[in-house]
Amino acid sequence: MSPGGPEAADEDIIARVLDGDTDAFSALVRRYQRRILRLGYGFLKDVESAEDYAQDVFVKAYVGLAGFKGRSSFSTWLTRIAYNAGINAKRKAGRYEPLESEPVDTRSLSPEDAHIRAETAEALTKAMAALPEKYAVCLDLYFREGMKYEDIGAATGFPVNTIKSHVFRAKRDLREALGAGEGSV
Amino acid sequence: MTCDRFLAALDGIDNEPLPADLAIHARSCRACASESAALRAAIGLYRLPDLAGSSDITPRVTALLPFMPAPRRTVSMRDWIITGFVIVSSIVLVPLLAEFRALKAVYGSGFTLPVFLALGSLVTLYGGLFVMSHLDDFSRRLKAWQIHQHGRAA
Ligand SMILES: [Zn+2]
Repeated sequence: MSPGGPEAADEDIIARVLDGDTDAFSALVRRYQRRILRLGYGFLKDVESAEDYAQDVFVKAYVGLAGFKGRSSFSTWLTRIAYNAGINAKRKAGRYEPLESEPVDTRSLSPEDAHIRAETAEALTKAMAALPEKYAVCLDLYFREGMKYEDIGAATGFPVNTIKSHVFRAKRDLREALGAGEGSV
Repeated sequence: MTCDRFLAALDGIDNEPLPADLAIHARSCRACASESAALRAAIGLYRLPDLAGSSDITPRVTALLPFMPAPRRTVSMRDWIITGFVIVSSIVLVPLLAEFRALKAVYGSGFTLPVFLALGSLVTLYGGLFVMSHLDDFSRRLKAWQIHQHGRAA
């Protein structure tokens, strides 16, 4: 296993970058670009802008890498940079929205799975629309990115209990939507 | 555990495997087990796809990095100040310790001299490290100050 290879821990890669191995940083970009691109789309609603945004986020993370002290995981630290960049960029683009059925790549899903996914996306979109807009991104960080309450709190600065109660309600709505869909089949 | 409490707990748990008490209920209750499995599967599917039409941005990022200031390991100013504070307060506080006074009474300067020598070298070491690690910073500030003075004189 090479220290900058696909299996290396984030912390090892960061140590190498701080030792002057700039190329090692590309492993972190490869590892996290999917999340950052999805977040970028949520803020900017445009694939090309999401790519520019993601490039910006990674360059910011590189320049500020010495400021990463390991108090949270690297992914949480990076998500905080991305969140702040998103909040700044969004002023132009308006409301944060989750990925719609259009710009996600669902070709690999069976028709049945694609249907469940569409229902899930619809229920979560509704749940987000019912929230004050600033919390919508918390639901995506939880449901889409699989982050934990604490880490979402660290990335966005919102209180963990607030995030928890929004997720709670969204899950309840989601279960209801899925249950209703089942009944109609 | 009742089914109602199971479902409320299910909505409340973090992104993590089912906690033991919920798992026990799910094992004996088919309705709750399938509810929990359906929720997990739906979230799993929601998580799957990538942003369509986007390309790998790694080459774009790596092409930019050589033009950016390279990050370097640093000790934050806060850590420097805390360390300095600890060293200075130990110099002040050590002579006040009852043990220090007791040993001083027995051994006199044969005890106090080495202790203060040790503390003194600690301060020297700290000061030396601080100056060495901030040389870049000092010279930048000095240059900025010189430019400022020059601007004023002109
Ligand atoms: Zn039950």
